[in-house]
Amino acid sequence: MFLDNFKIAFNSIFSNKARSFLTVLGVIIGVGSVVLMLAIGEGAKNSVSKMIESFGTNVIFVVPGKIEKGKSFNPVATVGENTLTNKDVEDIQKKADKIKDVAPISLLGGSLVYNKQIASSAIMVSSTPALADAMNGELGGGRYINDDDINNKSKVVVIGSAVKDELFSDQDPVGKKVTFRDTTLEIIGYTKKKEQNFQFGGFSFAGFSTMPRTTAIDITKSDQIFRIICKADSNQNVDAAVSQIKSTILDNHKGTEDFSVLTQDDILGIAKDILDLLTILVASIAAISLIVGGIGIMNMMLVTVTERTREIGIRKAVGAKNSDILIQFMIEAIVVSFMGGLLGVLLAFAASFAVDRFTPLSPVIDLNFILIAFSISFIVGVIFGLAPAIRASRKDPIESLRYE
Amino acid sequence: MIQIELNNISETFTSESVQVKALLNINLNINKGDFIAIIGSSGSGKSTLMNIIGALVRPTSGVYKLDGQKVSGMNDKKLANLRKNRIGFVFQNFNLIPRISILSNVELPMVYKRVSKVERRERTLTLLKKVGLEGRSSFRPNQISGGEIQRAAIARALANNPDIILADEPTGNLDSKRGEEIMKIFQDLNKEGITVILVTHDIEKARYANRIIKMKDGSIVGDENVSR
Repeated sequence: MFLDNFKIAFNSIFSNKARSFLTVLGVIIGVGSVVLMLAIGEGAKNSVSKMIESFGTNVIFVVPGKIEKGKSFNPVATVGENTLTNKDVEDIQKKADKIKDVAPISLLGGSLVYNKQIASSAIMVSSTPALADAMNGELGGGRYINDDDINNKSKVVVIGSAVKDELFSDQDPVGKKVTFRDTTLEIIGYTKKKEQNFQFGGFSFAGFSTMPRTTAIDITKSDQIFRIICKADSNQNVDAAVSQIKSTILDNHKGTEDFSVLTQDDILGIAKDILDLLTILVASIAAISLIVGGIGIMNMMLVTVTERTREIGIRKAVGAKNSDILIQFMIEAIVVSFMGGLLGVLLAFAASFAVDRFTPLSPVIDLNFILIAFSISFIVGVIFGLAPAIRASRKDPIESLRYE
Repeated sequence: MIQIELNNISETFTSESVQVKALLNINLNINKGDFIAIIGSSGSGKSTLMNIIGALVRPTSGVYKLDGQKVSGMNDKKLANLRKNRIGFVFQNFNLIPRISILSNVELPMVYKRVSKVERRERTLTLLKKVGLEGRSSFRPNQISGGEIQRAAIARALANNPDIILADEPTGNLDSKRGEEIMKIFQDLNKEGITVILVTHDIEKARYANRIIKMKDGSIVGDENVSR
């Protein structure tokens, strides 16, 4: 009986190929875009994870503002003027014996200029020599900032790989002079290029253009600290290091916990939470087109039911119950919608291939997304097939048999 | 033995906001195994009477009993079950589903009776053989002649072993030779014990029956037994 209904459905759908295809186009596009959006979100999550994992498992970030897992946090508290101080950095260095490297990092406003050309890809920061060790940073050439640079307030900079590509392409930039906020800086090195499709705001060692912290304080007249980046002496000691850092800063801040100490796992979790939220948002917008697709199916089913009035009359005359007719047309709507879902998934595969090839994003289609796509198309079929199927099932047999 | 019992049956319907009285206080008993011909001009109410007997319509008033069981007042589901298990319809315009094969058309009533696929196939082929349509099972209705289509329709009517066959002008769209062949089939079925009720305006065809009921303006105006 059930199989018979499928046979009837396929028969009806394929006897009107063009109409069926145009009808399911809405579902195809809807399902396709939902899956594509989910895939792009998943791809972004993978890139971010890879980037954060490249810091190494024993890296620890101290950020201003209180972030607790599972609770919403105030992002503004983590980027504005804040309470982390030089003393915090020094005390961590002194008191936390499970910490190998400590580096304060500050974001600097202003443009890096070479030959009147502004490096648009520059993310200017200031730090200490320990940053390279703390973030497992690698250089493509030249040298990194050293203690002498800090002590002498040397006017030097280590540029990011993107800046090197932008300003110098294949030339060696070491020894060249650039200007930053009216100060001339000598390039002493550049970071090693990391193959990453998606830079999460450029927050990686390779993305930074770094100058000595002392030099920067002279230029900006500010000793603000954006993050403190620490490295535990081993993977096993990460938790102990976190509590050492916490107690040290708490002492300095008179017991106010106006900062957070985050491990790689914590940051991964936060980044994934944010990206999940964004992905759901974008996918929900894409899902609106599914309603349009559903209406298309409803329209086609209403036409089909009217066209097949006589068939309904015949079926009833030979003993079909109202529920038999209802199920028959429901299955037809679901089959149409499901086929739309199937084609939509294929479309999503094609589109994500194109996105991967022609944009910096690398979408990843998870098996779950395909299951979601099929469930959505099933539900669309049920919802929008119901009204036409009810109409079919309630038709009067005699009037239906007389229908021309 | 009385099989069909109609007491004071009336049927009124509204067509384009005009009330039409199709049947007026019909009283009629039909015995099991009868071959009945209902004759009358168009609009006399003979088709409506047949539709009531076939459980396709509920009478506006009156009581219809089939084997002592009250049919008037049954819900849609029970009426559908009755049509499925006890009654076979044969229509003037055949009413086969055009998109599907003869085989699928004939097995349709068995599909709704949830008969297994193997059993369905077997019985369909037997029925097609019985009506002389061997080798036609995979054809579509538009690929065979009118006479053949009507035989397929009879095979479909017989699918669930009904005890009543209702035929509404079954030969109306056929030439006289094919018409005779179809009537012979009904005669054979009646000999097997099936009650046959034939609606026709063709007095020649009515001669196959053993009882002729004449209708006019929604009433029975004649009822005679004939010897064959």
